[in-house]
Amino acid sequence: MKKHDALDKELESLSPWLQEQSRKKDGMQVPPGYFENLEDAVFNKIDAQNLRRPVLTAQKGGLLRKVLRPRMWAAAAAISAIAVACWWMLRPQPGATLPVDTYAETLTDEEIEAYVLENISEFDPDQLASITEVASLEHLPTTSPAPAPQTKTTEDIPAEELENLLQHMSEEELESLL
Amino acid sequence: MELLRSEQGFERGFRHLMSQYRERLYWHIRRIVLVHEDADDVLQNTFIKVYRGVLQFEGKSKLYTWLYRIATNEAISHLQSKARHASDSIDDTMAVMSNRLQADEWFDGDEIEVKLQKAIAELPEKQRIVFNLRYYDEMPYEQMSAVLATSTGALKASFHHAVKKVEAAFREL
Repeated sequence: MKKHDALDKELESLSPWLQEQSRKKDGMQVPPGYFENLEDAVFNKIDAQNLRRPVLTAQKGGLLRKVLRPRMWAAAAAISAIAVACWWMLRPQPGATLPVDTYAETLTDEEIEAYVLENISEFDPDQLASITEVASLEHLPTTSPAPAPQTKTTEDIPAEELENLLQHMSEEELESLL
Repeated sequence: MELLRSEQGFERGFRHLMSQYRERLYWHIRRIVLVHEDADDVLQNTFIKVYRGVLQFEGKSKLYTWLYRIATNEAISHLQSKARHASDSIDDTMAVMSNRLQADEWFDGDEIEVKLQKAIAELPEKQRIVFNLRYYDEMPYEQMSAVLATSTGALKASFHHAVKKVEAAFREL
């Protein structure tokens, strides 16, 4: 489809009125000989501005020229140096201690207990107490114990009742109370 | 381009480039700035910019697209500069210029053409450029997309809105 036809079709649905207007005639004109003299006018302006003739700085050579750019090589060398330095600093050292969590996983409970008992003085007593409390409390029942049955003391018993009680007690019972 | 790259052929090559594109670029610029005197200034500045940069043009886009882009930017800069001098917005400047259109000795449009130009001048800057490129230059959306760095979908929508607005504005004038 030609450019003209494509636009006509587009305008047909959008605005038939604009389609009818002559697009080639918009009332704008140029002075006679304007385009023919334009090139000289531009060069006169270039001379008046003392513009230097442009120099070709980008040379042909395509991919090879790009590959041989010194800046590119310098950047690549810097990136490589940083990568090697990072690897060198982060690599695992021979004989290096393992992280605590990793090391602890290799020990049995008995070994840990034995170590703690041997080096008990090295531990913070408060911390140790808190661990022990937590461990022992885990085994305790969570419900509170039932309240103990209340017993009456001699002060709570009226005098008459007390006297009555003593009369009915044998001598052996009395002795056991005393 | 080959001629431009040779030491002796640069001027001849540049003159050839101007003769190939001068009319298309002129009308593109003229429809943005409306008045011949302004269009002449902008076109000459466009070619001076091209003169300075043509040897650095790497051919990543078509030469035609690159030239249109420079011309469009120069025309917009010219309008912005005019608006700054008048402490006005570009839209107000366009309204003033469209009113002056009939006084331009290089305009002899009839009543309909004057009204149409005034209706187009009322469009926002980007829509006006899209409308002119499509309606007068019949530029395909793909090319326009490369010139204005906008997606073809957005350009189509912009043109459709512009057409409706121009018709409505024309009927109100």
